[in-house]
Amino acid sequence: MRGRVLRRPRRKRRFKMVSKQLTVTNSQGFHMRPATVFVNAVSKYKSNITIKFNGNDVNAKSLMNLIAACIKFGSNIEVVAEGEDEEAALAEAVQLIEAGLGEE
Amino acid sequence: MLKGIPVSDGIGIGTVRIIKNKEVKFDDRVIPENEIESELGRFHSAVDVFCERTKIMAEEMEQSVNPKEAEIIKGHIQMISDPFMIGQIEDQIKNGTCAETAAENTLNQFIEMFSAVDDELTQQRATDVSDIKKETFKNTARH
Repeated sequence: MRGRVLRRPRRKRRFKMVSKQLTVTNSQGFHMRPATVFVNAVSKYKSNITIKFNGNDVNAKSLMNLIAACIKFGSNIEVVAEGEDEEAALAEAVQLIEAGLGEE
Repeated sequence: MLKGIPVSDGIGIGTVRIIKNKEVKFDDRVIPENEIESELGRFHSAVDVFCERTKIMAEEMEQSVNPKEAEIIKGHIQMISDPFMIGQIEDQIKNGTCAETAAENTLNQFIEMFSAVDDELTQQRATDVSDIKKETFKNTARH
């Protein structure tokens, strides 16, 4: 074993995590249809996306949990993304919420 | 010539469709380790069949009944496809719970969550979850 250099295990790369606070402006909030639009859009990202609301961390890729969270018009939320595509994921999530989640 | 007060817009002729809601019976047993894979498979095929049938039904409804109803049942596909919820059901099956019971436990949990919220629209979604619960295992027989 002499002379053998043990390679230090490579550390898992950590992502810095990005977030943004915003207010829900569409009249229905995160109800069935808007929540579906949102989940379908963010599910394509690899990052973990969470919505912080009312002291809870809600998995933004889970339609059922989003509905149960009952995020309404005027709710203050924080969108958090962590992972390799966190910047893009956060940007699209924020843009969608600000644009009213596909509500007409 | 007949004289009188008209009470309806007319008559409709069509085929009668009877929708029976029969309870799905299943044998709730502990799944031995060597059957867990096939039990997971049974769960996934039940979900697939449910989605497929619901999709066809939604397409029919869009043309015949009304698009709003179709929208609701299309939502059922989205709900049951929730990866987080599917993961919860799979975890139970991996621990030896049979597919029906595992799905029922998790769906009941969401029914409770939705019903507990002080918001009428969210409470209405509890009805959707209970419809999903009734329908999912309708077409899968235990082998």
